[in-house]
Amino acid sequence: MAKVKGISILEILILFFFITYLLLPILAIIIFSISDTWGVGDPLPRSFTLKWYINSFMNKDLLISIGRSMFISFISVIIGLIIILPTAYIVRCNLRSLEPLVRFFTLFPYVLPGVILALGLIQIYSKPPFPIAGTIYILLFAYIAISLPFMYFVISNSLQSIDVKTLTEASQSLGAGMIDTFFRVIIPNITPGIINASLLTFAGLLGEYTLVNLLLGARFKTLQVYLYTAMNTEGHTASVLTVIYFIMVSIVSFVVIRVVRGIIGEKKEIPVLK
Amino acid sequence: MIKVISYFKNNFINILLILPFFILCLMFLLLPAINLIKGSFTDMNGNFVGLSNYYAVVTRRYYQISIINSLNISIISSIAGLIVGLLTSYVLLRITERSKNLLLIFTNVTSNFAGIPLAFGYIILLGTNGIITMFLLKKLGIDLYQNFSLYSVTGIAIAYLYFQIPLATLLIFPSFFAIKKEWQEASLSLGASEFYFWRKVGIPILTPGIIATFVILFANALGAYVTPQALTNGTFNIITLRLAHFLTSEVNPDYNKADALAVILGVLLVFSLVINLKMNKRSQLWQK
Repeated sequence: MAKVKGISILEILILFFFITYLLLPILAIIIFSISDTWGVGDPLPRSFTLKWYINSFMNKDLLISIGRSMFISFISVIIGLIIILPTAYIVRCNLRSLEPLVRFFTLFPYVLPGVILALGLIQIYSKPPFPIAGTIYILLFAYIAISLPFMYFVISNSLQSIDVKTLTEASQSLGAGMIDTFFRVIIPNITPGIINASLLTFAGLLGEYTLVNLLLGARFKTLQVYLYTAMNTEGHTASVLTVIYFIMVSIVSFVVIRVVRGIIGEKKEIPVLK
Repeated sequence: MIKVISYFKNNFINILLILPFFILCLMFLLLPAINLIKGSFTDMNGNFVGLSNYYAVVTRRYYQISIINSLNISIISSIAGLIVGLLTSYVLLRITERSKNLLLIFTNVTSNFAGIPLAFGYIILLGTNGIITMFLLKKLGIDLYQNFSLYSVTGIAIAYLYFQIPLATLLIFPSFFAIKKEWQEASLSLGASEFYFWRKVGIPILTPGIIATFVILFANALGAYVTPQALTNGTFNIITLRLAHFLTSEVNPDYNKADALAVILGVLLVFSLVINLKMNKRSQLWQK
């Protein structure tokens, strides 16, 4: 397309609308988190304070909820990686005939949003042979299952870009076994992809509320569960927690963008995790 | 048969290593889906009852409204999101590479804000005592809540737009690359106006991409749960909140009716996905 140097006022207005729309709710929460006295009916607060932040950092329940979220997300990502790395490599290299079947499963998150998945899971796992409904295991398995398609997608794309077949053949012709090839040749070559898949999945799970709420309710208070309760009872704490959460996931986003340049162009085919 | 056995023999270790993936997908994705479909055709004791669960769901006013509300909000927010996404993509193509990248990063980062934070932000902005509500009332004398509520179809659609606009932009933006600079130059040099070029060449090339994006936005809005739940505290009547209600609020939930409602939602989503895949294939023809 032709690049035009100057852009018109209309185009500036469109950009302005776009940026403002995305920025306003974030700004509102930041303002709320540092507001002190707020007169009845005033659009903006009269004075500002950092006391909500200090209170929140001494709030044990809040800190533990962040810890819980990080813990379950981290474990899910690690188990997910352990499952998906060999799967993606083997499907790419040796069992190409299984690729359509794997692709079929990667489409599932599109048609099984959290609400539907939770409804199905509760009915199956409330009774024998696997009565795990209401325990943390059902949440863990559900988290891994919904992460697998996305992780497969990113890892599989990385494997495609390094010509994994040639690398494997070269490594094996030099006498390396399958395990050596996998850990010392393939893994180091797709590190950016692994980091990318792990971080994005981690951030996605940190923001997960549907499954944890519907499967475990208040039995497992994650960051999002805490946030939801606090939003209706102690708004200032909720706003501080939102700011902390947003900083956490923004850092993840920035790292991902640094590690994998050009990820934005690929976004088209990446399934939406949320 | 012998072929199958020898296939398994030769690939024994490989198959063993990929088994966990398939077991997990089977147990926690496929099985729940199959179970829902089965449940929607049976009664509590597992006896086949034909379409009676569906009939009950479709004819009860309460569920009817939830389906209508879901479709309404999804269509409104998808169309509005698509229009803004198209305009933004068009502008993104005309600004410098550097500012374009910055904006795309900004879009990516803010997409983390969907869900509870988003609902919270909107309540602070547009709730009955919100910043914008109060600003309009006190400074300009406009009572926003006379014919608007954040907790209505329009209000929720405005909140949905927050995640629909970035998604639309990120999905539709690559479609614009299909329109070659040479084509525009050729048509302009042959005397066509800019408008004529877009009407006869640009828009037709973008159409498959636009449809593909629309159905994804539509599916995204239909499946949304957290934002409306947090915004209205679960009181708004849409399909996802109805389904959640079965799980959280009812003592002896009638799972079979819930299954039927879930399958209705699922079929709409499968339908959207199929259209998306078909249209994506078509739009990729141009991008080569």
